[in-house]
Amino acid sequence: MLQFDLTKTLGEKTFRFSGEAPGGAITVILGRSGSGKTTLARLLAGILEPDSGTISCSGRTLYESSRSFSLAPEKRGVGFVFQDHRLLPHRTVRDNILLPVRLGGRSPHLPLKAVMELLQISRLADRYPRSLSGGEAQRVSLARAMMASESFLIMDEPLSSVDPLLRADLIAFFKRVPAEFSLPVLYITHSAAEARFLGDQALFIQDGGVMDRGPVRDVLLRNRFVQPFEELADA
Amino acid sequence: MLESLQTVFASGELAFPVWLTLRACACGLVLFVLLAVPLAFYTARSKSLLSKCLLFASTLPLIFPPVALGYLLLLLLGRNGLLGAPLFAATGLRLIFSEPAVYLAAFIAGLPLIVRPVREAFTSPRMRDLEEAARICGLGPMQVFLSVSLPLARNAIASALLLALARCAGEVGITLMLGGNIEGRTTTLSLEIFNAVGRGDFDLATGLCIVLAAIAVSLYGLLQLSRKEQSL
Repeated sequence: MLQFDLTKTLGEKTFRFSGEAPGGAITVILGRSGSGKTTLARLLAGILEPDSGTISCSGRTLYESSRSFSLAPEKRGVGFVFQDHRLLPHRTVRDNILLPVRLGGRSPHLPLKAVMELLQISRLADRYPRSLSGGEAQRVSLARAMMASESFLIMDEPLSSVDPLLRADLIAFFKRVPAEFSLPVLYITHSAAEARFLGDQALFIQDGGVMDRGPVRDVLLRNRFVQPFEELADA
Repeated sequence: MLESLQTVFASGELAFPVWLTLRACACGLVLFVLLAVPLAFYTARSKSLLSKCLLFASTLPLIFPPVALGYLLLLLLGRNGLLGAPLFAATGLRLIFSEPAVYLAAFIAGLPLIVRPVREAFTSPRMRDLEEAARICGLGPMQVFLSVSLPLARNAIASALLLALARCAGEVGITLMLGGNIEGRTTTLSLEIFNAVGRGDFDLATGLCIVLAAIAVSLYGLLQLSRKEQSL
């Protein structure tokens, strides 16, 4: 279980986030552009330092402001799928996926072979990122994040830079992830369709804070953003 | 003309300035890799006052006349200078008017041609994104520098090194002041051309120009090659 209660001021805007994400399930972080979804992801991963609060995962403290304790990003055991794939261009697909293990010292929950078979990327192992399609690159990015995940996995709008025709294929891969390991998975999106298909529960973020939480369907209905968000997704 | 050039090349008069210039370039190359590239990375990542001062100091040879800069360094590193005096007191070493002074001049002259462009490469948003991804994957800051930042900046570093080496080979002003233009001790190719013209030895000056041109063409070829690889 991932638990967090954080505040962060950036410029004139103050963000206040609190919530939890159970293991073995996808928790969707829903919100409009600029609401603070990516800020929350960066705070949890350790790329941004909160002003105050706590982050813990399965009893392990990652951040606690009262003790001035903050684990560096490389020590948090987080897997992260970015909006753009962020694969290292000078390393092969295999080397990219093994980066968290070989250089990061991470102990993945699944062996490399299983991850590559699950995401159907075994045939890409010796290729370089520049030769991959958008969908392939994002699957490789997911594989790398799965190998890096010791504490929890964050997917930050992983479909936003992918061709709409490939989204259905990719989303099926994302759906399989929680069943493969028991870690909390955070899926950040502004798409109600993605949230409905993938999410077990949702946190709704608005104006820099968590405004609602609960089962995905209830959160979508209560906050009446099914229609507006579908329109955004189609735009 | 050709005959007199052949005589110059056969006489061995070119040997000392050529070897000194090549040694200065080699020494400059080592110092660029060991000091200038990490300096570029530091100034790209740190927003401290020290970082800003170092960036200004490393840019100075580009925006300040070399002879004037050489003169200031002479005052600083001379036996009674702010740095020269304690260095002499501690080690008995006199840096100015010696061969190491020529190496130092070459390094200082080429420094801005490394620091500015390599710093630009290190500050690119794409580089920052990939470094961030590597940190989250478990790599510490030094691993990120060695496994991500350096390989991604390698083309920029290679181009900058070649330009800086060309600058080393042609450096005059700082070398003149720090090295003293002492015949057979601190005369580089460029200074020897100056001396030869002053003596009216135009064959020697032409021969030295040919050697410098060969170095320049080789470096240009390597530069083009590195840019071609970059675009692949």
